[in-house]
Amino acid sequence: MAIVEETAGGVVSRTAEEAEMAPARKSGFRRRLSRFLHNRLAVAGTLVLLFLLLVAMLVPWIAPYPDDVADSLNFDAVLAPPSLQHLMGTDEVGRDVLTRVMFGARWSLAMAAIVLGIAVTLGVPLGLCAGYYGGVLEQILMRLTDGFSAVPALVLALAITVLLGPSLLNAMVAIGFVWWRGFARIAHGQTLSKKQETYVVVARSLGASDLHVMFREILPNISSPLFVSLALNAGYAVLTGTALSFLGAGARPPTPEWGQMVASSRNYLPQGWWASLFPGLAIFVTVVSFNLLGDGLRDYFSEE
Amino acid sequence: MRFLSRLANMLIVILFVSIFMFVLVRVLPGDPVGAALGEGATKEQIDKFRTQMGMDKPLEVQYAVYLRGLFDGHFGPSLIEPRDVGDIVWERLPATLELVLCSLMLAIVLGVPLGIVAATHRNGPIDQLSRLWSLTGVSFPPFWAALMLQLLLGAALALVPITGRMSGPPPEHFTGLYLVDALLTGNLSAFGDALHHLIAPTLVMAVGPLAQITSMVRSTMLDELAKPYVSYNRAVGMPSFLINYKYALRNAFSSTLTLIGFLFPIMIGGAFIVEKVFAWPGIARFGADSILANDYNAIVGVTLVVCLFVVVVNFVTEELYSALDPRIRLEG
Repeated sequence: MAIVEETAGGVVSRTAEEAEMAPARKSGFRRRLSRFLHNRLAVAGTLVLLFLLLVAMLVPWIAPYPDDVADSLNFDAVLAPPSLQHLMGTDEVGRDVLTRVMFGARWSLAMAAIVLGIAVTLGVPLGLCAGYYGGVLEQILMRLTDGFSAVPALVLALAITVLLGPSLLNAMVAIGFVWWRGFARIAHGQTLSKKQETYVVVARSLGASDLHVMFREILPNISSPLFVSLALNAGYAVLTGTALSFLGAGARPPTPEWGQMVASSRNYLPQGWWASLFPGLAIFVTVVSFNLLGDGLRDYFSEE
Repeated sequence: MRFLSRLANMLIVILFVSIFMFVLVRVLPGDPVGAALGEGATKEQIDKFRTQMGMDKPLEVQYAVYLRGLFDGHFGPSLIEPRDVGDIVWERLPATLELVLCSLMLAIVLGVPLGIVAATHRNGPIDQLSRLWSLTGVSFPPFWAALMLQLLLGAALALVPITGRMSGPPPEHFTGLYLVDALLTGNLSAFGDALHHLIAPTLVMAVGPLAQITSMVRSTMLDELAKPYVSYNRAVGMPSFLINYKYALRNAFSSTLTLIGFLFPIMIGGAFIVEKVFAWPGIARFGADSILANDYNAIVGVTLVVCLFVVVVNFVTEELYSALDPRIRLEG
């Protein structure tokens, strides 16, 4: 039976054999690292993400037209096709698309960080408690998780964002609030499987508090699947965030957010295709990179 | 007994979602009354509207009234289309179902054989492509994929219509699924018309599921092919196509079935975007519009119907799964 890992955004499957490709014997960290480095695609994804992070940090100094981040108008160069001056062309009010795509990296990385931060903070403790205490508490918490999973993430996040008042920050909060269920599921399942391990039983018989057992004994031992899931979910969070902005519930013009850029340039299709193509391509590359990183982390953490 | 308790669980989930959404639209700061009456509404108008809608009563009373209405099929009036939300949803549901079912079918019809070929020809070119596809196929932003496909197929090549469900008159109404209705009435031109309009949105919706089904079938098959009974059958001379199709395929089907349960809610979520871009007259587009317009009865109604479908699909796939694989016994 294939190993199915449920993430908040989807399902990833792979063979048991692939999950435990065992290279030559080396010490723990080095063996794992070499397994990660062996996965060329994962290394490529990681490099792309590091590059994006660098761009996001340095963009005010390295962007070709830093003023184009805001509401600047340049009617001499409206919808100019890609050229040496504007590598990705200009948009409907003459702003440099490359500059705005570079600034957009900030928003997408922030989206991933904030969504996952909220989701992990809510979901992991809930899943831990449900798995650790069991009984009625487990029933209630897991039914709650079921209830949240029965409404598509995008739909619930969209509704909460609009009700809170459409803005990029509210979109991040709303998606985070919807996203916890995947982490709760993983933490719950993993806790159940670790609950009877010797170190947990010993810690409890030595009189350790429940909090200590949950967060100091169990949590470190279930962190690997959570890390893998974080990377895979980062991509889905970016997809959902840009979709909310595209629908008009997230970032507002002139914020250079990728989904918003596609939305405001779509009226100039098909002539001004570059103004929609490149921001979307940036989303795609970011999401693929997160998925590749997740794939590599799974190799890194897999047990022999 | 097990069956009954699973049914009860389903009801609990639906009830929970109805309460949650009902309270959410009333508690969060979004202003449905303002959205309904517009900017210039006076204090009296607002109060009158609130009384008319029963919004001056306590929440639990409002919910009881709402629940009572649900049993009669009343979801409350919509604000963006002055009719009962139930009627709108009922009318628009087939369009979304047709889109989702066609995409799912396309993903299965292409994904299952692709996964099998990838597994039986491991590390061959098709396998390499399918593995790359399983990582990239799930990464397309649907709104962008939709626009780019419109650009490519519709604008550049002029191959397919890029918005709407029909150009001509729709076929006579039986199920509301135009393809089925057209076949039932023998109306071939309507069938072609509907099919033509389905191509672009279906492709966009099928991209992600196709990638996931392919990778799922591939990995299940590989696990199965590594088992001793396969080596035994090989050793006694059973032809490999028989091994592949008689044994391994069965497992591929049950794993695809579980996957459908996971994919369905994601696809419905995707429909909210795809229907918007393709001007598809389904409930997902109505749902997206009503959420954006703060139409609170419509928000609760659409979410409830979507939730009902998700829960039922999950239930059916799990039941089928346990029927296909006698080793699996579902717990209450």
